[in-house]
Amino acid sequence: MKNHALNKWIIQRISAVVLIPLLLFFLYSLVNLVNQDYTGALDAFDNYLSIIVFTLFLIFSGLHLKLGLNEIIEDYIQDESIKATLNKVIILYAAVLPIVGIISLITIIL
Amino acid sequence: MVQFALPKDSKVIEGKFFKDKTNGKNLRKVKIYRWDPETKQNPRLDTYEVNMDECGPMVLDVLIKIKNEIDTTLTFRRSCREGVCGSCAMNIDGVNGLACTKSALDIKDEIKVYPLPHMPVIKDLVPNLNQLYKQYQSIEPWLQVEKKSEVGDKEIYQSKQDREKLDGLYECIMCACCSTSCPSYWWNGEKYLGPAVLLQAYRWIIDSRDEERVKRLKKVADELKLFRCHTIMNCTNSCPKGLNPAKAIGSIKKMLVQHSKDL
Repeated sequence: MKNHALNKWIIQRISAVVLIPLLLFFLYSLVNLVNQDYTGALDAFDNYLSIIVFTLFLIFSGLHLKLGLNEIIEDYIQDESIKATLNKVIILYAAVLPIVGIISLITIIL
Repeated sequence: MVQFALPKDSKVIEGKFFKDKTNGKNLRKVKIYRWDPETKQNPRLDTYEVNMDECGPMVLDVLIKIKNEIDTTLTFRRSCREGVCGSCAMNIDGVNGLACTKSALDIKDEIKVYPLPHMPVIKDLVPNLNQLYKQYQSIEPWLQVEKKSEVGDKEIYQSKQDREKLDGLYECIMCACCSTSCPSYWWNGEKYLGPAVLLQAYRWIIDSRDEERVKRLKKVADELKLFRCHTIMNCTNSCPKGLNPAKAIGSIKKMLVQHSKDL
């Protein structure tokens, strides 16, 4: 597919659908962590299923966040230079958060 | 940056009060946005007392009565008086609609009438719709067939099923109620085509007789022209003809996916 706008729209929809089960798993895990201490929390992430699901959650939430914020900036900011700068900040933010999260998860399992 | 506050000279101030002189018993207060470019004054909200016992039931009847009997300087567009021409589109009681099909009885308390939102005002209730018409022109709203000689030579047949696809689209009268109720169109009106024009675009895209479907899809498949629609649904809520521009926009997006290889 060549059309950038269409690709973006499709990816936004797909990431939204994928995030539904991932978000439910995230919330379920979060509730289970309420009464856990630090060691218990580490144990909860010390298996491949949690690592994989959380990695996917971080990747898709970062992607969806980036696309959603891009849309807001496209809507409300008309100055092209401000728009370009903000879009770069968003890319950085949406990339750094999942990367830090994934590295943390890997360190737990190693 | 989008301007969230009105400039000082656009703030609406309290206007004149026109008391009923007929000693009527069934009086209604009508507040109308007034602005005259020649006076260089702020827009104001004039209040008129209208004797509803001597007035027709529609908001347009009220406006005509005011213009004829109370204040001849009031300016508004009107023509057919039966919801066909779209001339009397305005913001009534907070919702865009046609003054000729909106009953004054459906409005509680005062009747507040403003021009269509977020459009430059020419005078009083008359908005400048040039931009919308230019956008309408840009989608080439006419039948396009490859062999031009065929047009007019013989009838281009269309099955009943294909004709039915135009239902809910051809009825659009381009009154601009939908586009001017759309926040995306308010913010990006110069680039985003808006619900009225996109509904019209879909009307030609889906027409089985038209041969330029891919060209038409390519033309609207743009981040700003089409994808500024965030399915807010104000357009559908305000359409005085009961049409669903948001659905038409959704259908264009679906068709883009179906024709993605050709784009």
